[in-house]
Amino acid sequence: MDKEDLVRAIKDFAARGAVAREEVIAAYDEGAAAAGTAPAPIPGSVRHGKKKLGIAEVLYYIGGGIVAIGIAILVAENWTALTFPGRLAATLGASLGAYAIAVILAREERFGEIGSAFYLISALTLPVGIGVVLANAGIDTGSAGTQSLIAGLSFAFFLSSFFVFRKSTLALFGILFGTWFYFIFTTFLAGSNPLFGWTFFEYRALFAGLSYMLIGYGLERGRYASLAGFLYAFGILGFLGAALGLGGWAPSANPFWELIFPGLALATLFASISIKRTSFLTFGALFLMLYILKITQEYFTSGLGWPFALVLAGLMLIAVGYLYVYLHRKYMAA
Amino acid sequence: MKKNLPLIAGIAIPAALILFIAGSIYIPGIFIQPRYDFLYATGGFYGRPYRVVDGHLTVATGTAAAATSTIAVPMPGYPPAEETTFFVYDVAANQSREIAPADAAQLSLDTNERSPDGFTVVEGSSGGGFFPFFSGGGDYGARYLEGHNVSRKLNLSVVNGNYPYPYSFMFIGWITK
Repeated sequence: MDKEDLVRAIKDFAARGAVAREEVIAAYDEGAAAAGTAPAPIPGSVRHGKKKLGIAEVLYYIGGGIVAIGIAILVAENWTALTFPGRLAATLGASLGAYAIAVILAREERFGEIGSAFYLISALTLPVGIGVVLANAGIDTGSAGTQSLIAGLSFAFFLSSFFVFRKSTLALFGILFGTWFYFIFTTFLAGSNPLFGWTFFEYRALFAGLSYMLIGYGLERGRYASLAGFLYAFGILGFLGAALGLGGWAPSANPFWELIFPGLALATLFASISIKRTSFLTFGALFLMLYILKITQEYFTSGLGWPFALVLAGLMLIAVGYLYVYLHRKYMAA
Repeated sequence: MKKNLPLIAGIAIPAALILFIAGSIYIPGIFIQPRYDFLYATGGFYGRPYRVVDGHLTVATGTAAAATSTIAVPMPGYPPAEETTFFVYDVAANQSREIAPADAAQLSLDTNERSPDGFTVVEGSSGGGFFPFFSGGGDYGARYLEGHNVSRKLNLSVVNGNYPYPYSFMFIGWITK
């Protein structure tokens, strides 16, 4: 195949709606990156393969969410009136039906993101449908073991769907259900074991956040770059939130986490320059401010006096705010 | 492979953590075993008629030898006690067996919270976390045998009295002989 044949084939596929513009651009960039000829990314520019959500897409997703909420309320309000087949049809049936519609619509580029809205309906109603089946079998759906089963089945379903259809939306739901499974299954393993309390949850959140950021970094330059923003934002939120929580509160504070946290927050601020992510800059600054307030409240109110501690904390918050604005203007703005 | 390393690491971390948690719960229990059984009672909270005196169970009124396994002797000033039932917990088999007060009185008891080999009976926890990252994990009514960074859930036989389930369990002492 020569270049003209390739260009003609792309035109033909585009005319038939069989390939998206972003897919062509993503394929080009992957090949160029492999050959070392990829252009340097422009700070603040739209990355290849990253779709911006327009008003239509937002409305699709809101509509999909409202449909799912409506189904859940329908089943909840009429639980005793509905027979098992009725409950199953309203939940699992709706999920599989929405999934089938999504598969059909997602094939045609002309329908845009409508297919993703139906994937959302399917994702929200699938766990409810599985729960209906288990409840009918007399299994307690509130236990951690049963919830692990529901989360695991949902995760497996959407992960395998992703490998078949290769859609970003399916990858997103796979990640979300995988996260749910990770938390609920470890809760099931620990149960009410007194060795595994709140600190156990914080460590799980810490590693989940780290995992999100690594996956986001891995997807950033590929076909699923649209997921990177979400993964970075929630990843750093979970990571810094857990790290701040692990510091504890005086007199039972954890000195390791209390001492290391400002380093983590500052590293986040400066990492935002490297990866060009406003979410890192925002959360790094926000958590540094929270840390300053926390430390002031813990250690400086009795020694220095409450008013002086407030003045000191306020000045430090101003400094962090200025650092945020400076970094944003210099490295984030186009 | 090198290009996908962050992606592989990101997926491997949660999987590795699940395996680590499972291992840390189940593996230490293989090597660290409690040695001391304990005596506990279930029933109503107020008006418990028994005491441990000089390491032996005694009943406040009447003698232990005359007591039956479902004794209910009210204390002065308190409402009548619910039936109090005694159990010996076999830590090796991880199960309870009912014991008559007369037989329980023959046991030599250590009433310290911590056993001679460093274990203690504790309540279950709430499990930590917040919606939707917790569900069904917490249970304050459960009891665990905890010590040396190991904990094991106990299979208690608890008879509900007038009070909520957690308050129907009362640890009496470690059986030293």
